[in-house]
Amino acid sequence: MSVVNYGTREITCKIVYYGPGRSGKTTNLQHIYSQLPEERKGKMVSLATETDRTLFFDFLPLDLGTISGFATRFQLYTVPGQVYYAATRKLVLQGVDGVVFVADSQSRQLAENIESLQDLHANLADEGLDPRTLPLVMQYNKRDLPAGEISSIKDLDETLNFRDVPNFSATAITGGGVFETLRSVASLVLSRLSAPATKDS
Amino acid sequence: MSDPTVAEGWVAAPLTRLKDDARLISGVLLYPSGRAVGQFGFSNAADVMSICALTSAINASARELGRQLDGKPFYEMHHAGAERQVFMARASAGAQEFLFVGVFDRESSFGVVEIYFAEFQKALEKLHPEKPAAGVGPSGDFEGELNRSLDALFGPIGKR
Amino acid sequence: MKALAQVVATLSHVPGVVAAMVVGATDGLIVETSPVIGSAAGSTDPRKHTAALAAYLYSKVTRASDAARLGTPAFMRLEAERGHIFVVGARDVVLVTIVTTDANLGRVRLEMMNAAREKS
Repeated sequence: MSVVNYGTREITCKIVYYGPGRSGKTTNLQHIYSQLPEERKGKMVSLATETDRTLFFDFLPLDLGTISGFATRFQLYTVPGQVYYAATRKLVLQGVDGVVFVADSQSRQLAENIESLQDLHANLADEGLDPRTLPLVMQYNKRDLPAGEISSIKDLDETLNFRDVPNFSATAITGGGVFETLRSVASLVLSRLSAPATKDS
Repeated sequence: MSDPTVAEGWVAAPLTRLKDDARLISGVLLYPSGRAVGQFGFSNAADVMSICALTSAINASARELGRQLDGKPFYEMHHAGAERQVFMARASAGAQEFLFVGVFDRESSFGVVEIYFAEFQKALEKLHPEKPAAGVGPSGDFEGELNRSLDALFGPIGKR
Repeated sequence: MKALAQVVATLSHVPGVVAAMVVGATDGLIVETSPVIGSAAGSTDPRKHTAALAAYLYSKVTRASDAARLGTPAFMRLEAERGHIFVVGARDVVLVTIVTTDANLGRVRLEMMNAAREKS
C-alpha cells in the first residue's frame, strides 16, 4: 500500500520488522532513532509492557527527503514477537510495503525463527499479499554471540531464506548491519514505485 | 488557531467548521489504513504520522475487540485526561470510511464535541472524496536519486 | 438528596416546561431527562444539543462571574424568540429546562432553585 499522493507530491511507505520474540526488532528501531538527525525523524512510539517487551508495536516515522520531486516518508513498525500476540501482528501487517525479517542467530532459536517466518507468510496471505513477491530482507541478528551458540549464515540462509532475498548479518545492540538492512528494504520498496508507478490506493 | 492542512481539498471546509464549532485544539482526519487526509493543530508531518499510526491501531484493535465481544464494532471512543481529552470516531463519505481523532480541553466539552462531530459526519456524507489527482509518478532518474538519498541518510552500504 | 429522575419529573410537570434535564457539568452529557412535551413525531430532538451547549454556556458564565469576583452564578436564563432556556448549577451537574414564552417563569425558576438545593 505505498501511497503516492500526486496532489501533494508525497510518497509514504510502511516497513514492518517481523521476527520471533527477543530477536532484536525494537533494538533495530532504537538504533535508527538514536543515529538519525532530528529533522529526519519523528518521535519513536513504543507500546511496551513493564518488562520492556513490545505489547502492540513500535513506530518510527522517517523522512527520506525529496526523491524525483516527491517528499518521501517511511513508517517503520515492529510487531510483538511473542506467539500469543498473533492478532496484533496481523493488524500491524495491514498495508505493509516491505518486511525486514529479524532472525535470532542463536542455534536454540532456530525453531522459533521458522515458526515466525511461517506465521509471517500466513498473515501476509490473509491480508491478500503475496509472500513471494513482497519486498523482503533477512537480517541475521546477534552475530556478536560466541560462535558455538549461533548458527552459521549458510545454515540460516538455507533454512530461512528460500526466496534468496538480500540478507544481512547484524549486531543490532551496537548498530552493526542495522542501516544496511534498512537501506536495502527501502531501496526494494521504492524501486517498485518507479516503474510502473503505483497510484494512490 | 491555524487553518487545516489537507491532502484532499474537499475536507477543508467541514474540518474548519468542526475545529471552530467544537473548539478543538488539534485533530486529524484519516483513512482507517492510517493515511492522513487533513489535520489541524500540528506543525510537524512526523507527529501527524504518529497520531495516524496510533489512531489506526486503536481503531483496528477496538474493532477486533468489539467483534470478539459481541460481534459489533465500536463507533466512538473518548478518553478524559486531567487537562486534555481525546475524542475518536468514524465518519464516511460514500463508501469510503474515515477516522477522526480530536483533542480538546476545558474550552470545550465532550457533549459539545459530540454534537458538532455529528454535524461533521452529516457534512461529510453529502460530499464525495476526490479522485486521486493524476500526474507523473516518480520516474526519470528515480533510482539514482533514491540511491543518493539513501546514501545521504544511511550511508553507502558497508561504509557506515 | 432527591433522586435525579424525581427532579426531572417534578420540573417537567411545571406548566410551560417543554423538557427538563440533568446534565453533567463538565462533559455536557445528559444524565436524566424528561420526554419533550408537544414535539411532533419525526421532528429533531433538541435535548442533546441543548444540554451540551447549555452546560458549556453555564461553564463560561461561571468563569465570567468568577473573573468579575461575583461568585458562583445562581441562575441563568436565556431568552429567545420562541422560548427560554433556564440553567441552574448543582455541584457536578446542571439542571436545564426548555420553557415556552407563556410559562410562569417565576414558578419555573423557584422549582429549579429548590431542586438544585435538594440535589446539593
